[in-house]
Amino acid sequence: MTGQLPILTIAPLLFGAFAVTAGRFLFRRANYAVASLALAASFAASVLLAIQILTHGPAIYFVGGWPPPVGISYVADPLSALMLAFVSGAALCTFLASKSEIETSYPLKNSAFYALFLLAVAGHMGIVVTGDAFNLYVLIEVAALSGYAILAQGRERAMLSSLNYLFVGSLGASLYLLGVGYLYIMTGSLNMADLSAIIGRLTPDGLSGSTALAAAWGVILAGLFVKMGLFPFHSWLPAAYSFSAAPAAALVAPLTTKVMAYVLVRMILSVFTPDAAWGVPAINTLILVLATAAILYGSFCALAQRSLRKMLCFILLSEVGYMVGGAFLGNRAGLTGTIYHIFADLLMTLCLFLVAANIERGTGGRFSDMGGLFRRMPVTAAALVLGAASMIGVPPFCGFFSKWYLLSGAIAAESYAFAGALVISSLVNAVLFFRIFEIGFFGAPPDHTGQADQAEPAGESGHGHPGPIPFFRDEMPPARLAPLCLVAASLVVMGLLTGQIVRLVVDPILPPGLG
Amino acid sequence: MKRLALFTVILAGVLFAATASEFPRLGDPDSAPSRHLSPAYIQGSLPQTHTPNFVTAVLGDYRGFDTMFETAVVFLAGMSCFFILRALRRRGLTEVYYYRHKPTGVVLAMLAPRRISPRTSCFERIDADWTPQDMVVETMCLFMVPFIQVFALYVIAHGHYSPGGGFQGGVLLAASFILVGLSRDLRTVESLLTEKTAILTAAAGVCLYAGTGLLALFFGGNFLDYGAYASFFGAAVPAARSMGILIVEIGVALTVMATLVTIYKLVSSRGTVEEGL
Amino acid sequence: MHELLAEFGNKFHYYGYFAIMMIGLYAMIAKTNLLKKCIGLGIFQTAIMLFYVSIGAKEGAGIPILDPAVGTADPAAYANPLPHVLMLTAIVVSVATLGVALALVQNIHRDHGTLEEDEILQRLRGK
Repeated sequence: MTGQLPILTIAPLLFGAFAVTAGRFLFRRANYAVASLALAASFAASVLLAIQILTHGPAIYFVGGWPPPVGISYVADPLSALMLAFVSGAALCTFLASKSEIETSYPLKNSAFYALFLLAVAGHMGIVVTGDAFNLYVLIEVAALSGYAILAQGRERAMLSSLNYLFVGSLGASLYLLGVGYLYIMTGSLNMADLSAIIGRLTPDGLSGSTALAAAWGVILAGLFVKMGLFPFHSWLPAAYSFSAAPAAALVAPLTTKVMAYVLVRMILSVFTPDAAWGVPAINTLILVLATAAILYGSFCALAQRSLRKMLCFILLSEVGYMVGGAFLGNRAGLTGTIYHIFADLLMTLCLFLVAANIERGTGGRFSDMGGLFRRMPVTAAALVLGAASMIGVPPFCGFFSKWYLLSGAIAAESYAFAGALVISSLVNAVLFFRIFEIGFFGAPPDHTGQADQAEPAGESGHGHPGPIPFFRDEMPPARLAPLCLVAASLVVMGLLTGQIVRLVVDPILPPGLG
Repeated sequence: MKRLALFTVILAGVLFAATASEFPRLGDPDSAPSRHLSPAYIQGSLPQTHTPNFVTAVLGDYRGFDTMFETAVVFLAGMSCFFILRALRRRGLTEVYYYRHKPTGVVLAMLAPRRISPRTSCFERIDADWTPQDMVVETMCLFMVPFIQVFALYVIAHGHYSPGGGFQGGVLLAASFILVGLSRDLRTVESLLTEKTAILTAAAGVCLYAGTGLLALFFGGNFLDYGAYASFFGAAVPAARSMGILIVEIGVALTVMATLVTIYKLVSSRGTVEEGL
Repeated sequence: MHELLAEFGNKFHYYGYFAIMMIGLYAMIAKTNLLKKCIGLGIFQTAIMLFYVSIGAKEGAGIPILDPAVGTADPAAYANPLPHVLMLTAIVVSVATLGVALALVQNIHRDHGTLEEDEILQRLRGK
């Protein structure tokens, strides 16, 4: 049965989605358990697959029994296998951590939410593992369509933000489809490996030898940039993620941008070879400028925000700049940094969005509500510190190592503007998070403010003090904290395992000649 | 803003037009798409899947995995509309309920809904803002419904031999229900295909598709490898594949029909599924 | 000049698809009415579908269904079936997207009483 593992990572999610849909009428109370079971099964299969691939080498799965150029194939190499494990693990953690949140955010519709959630995860996992360019398009739409629906519930603006996300997202996916059409008209194939071979034959001297293939690459890039919210195409992202209800944002925000960055890497490595993809210097320079602008824009806009989730959305924009920039530095260190950062950033964003969901429920998401956070929600605040340290790039955390690779890549490529933007963004992140820590340590909680203002001088003289806020006053139940702690701890673990990850996952898939 | 948009669009259009120089001319038999993969489908379809319609063979078998997710997208659209639109708690949309006394034509406006049985009661519920068509239209439309449905079944079943298949047949089936909705009213559609049945049917359709795929694993094949059912059907591998295509097409038709009817009901009634077009 | 015209004659359909695509894009960027944006998206996607379907055309070929009188010995006798399949998928996907978009549009209209985006934003800011 081990040969069937690639499909078994996705099948439980599909059948789980249908089961919870039917379960709405048949076994409503067990629905949450059914959905968690489906996610857990998918996670288990992904982990087994990753172990199998890392020990026995890559595997290609023929869906329908048809060999690749004719049929659709699933390609499980070290990169996609590890990514599958990360995506399903992240989805499982989000789901376990937000049980009560889902039940209060979507009353009477939680079964529909479970079904949409499971199919969204299935779509993201399919994108990671598919080896067919057109199948990728269908899966992008599966992942996106459920995202549009679940992001639409929330505050008053959520509907409009979600509709704008739908327009932009469909436009991006359509551009990707057009790019695949360009590839198809020039090569006659849709399978990624086959495409790569034919493109190599058609343009032995790089993409600049063929206008249509260079245009295909450009159109696919444009589509992917729109989907991941790179700087000039970013306006949908903060709105869509910050006005929706917390569980939807905690699922979609860590996954979508990272999976799209993964598709970018996949396109560079598997469809166009790195030499061809980086073959047009003007495009590389333009994209590096965009990435640098995205990093700076995201960082400085984050400074202006007054609520935690909105700030995270803008940090997300600058992280997209990291990943895109690293992929176009044109050297091994940069691409390694991008691939490593996809994993690292998935964990960091997941951790911080879960923290944001907890804080919104416990104290309120605006900075002014978060006074005394470290006493009121100590565990959540500790997770916030870990996530923030990783975001800033403090050494043992994974965020440090991805920045290290990106920086050394930028310096090797002599792209000092990008390197400077990376450093500035780290500094701004430090400012952003220390501002929250300051409020959390020294700020007075809003329901105490009235008394605190008067009590401060009185407290010094020894009477009339309302007393310190009790520890754990607003802390979430353990069921919500356990997955969060796991994610926060994994930030350190992944940082310590950096060497192994790069050796086992990144090195085998990069072409050996890459400088 | 509009000028800027116009400028961007024209610029992009010129850029796109400039990329067309290497494309093959229309209908070029020597273009890459005509030479690379399509001969494999055209020549392989009949011997490998017993399906003379190449499009159906590619759709249902060679690229059946795409089609499975496509069906999932349809199902997803139905669930999304339900999730976004469905008003599960009554609030504010319909406050007045109208009942017509059939013998006299007198209409009563009630502030709360009354339960009446359509067969025995001398009252009937009518919509607030939608006057039903007259009798000729209604009778003729209802007369058409069985013919549309029979034709839909033919389109599904004959998809192996002529243009057609699950999507087309499913849309026709949905059209027959929507015709009832347009010529009569939404409550008639709801009584013919309730929301619960529709959602369960949609899930069952995709489940039939994915289940056909998964079951092949237990017969020793890969996911969606209908050839693995050869021993089960007691037929040759191509015949089993042909049978597999038919089964998944039926699943597709069920999902498409149920989902389109669900979306129609939700959108036309603003999520209440009570009154509307 | 003659060659240029011949070239244009061979490629004119591509220019048509790009023109339609840009009309759709213009509607999505410049129009403020949300429903018109939906229509623009539909036009944009339709242009891409036309582009794909045109790839399947083959001179002197029949529909991609087996004709017993012709047989399958010569693949040039049948149009390429793959673009049809791909576009069947893309059409269904675009219908599904449109359905979700309409559901969102309807909810927005219920909440705000208008579909003009700038008016909605004004109302949201006013609160």
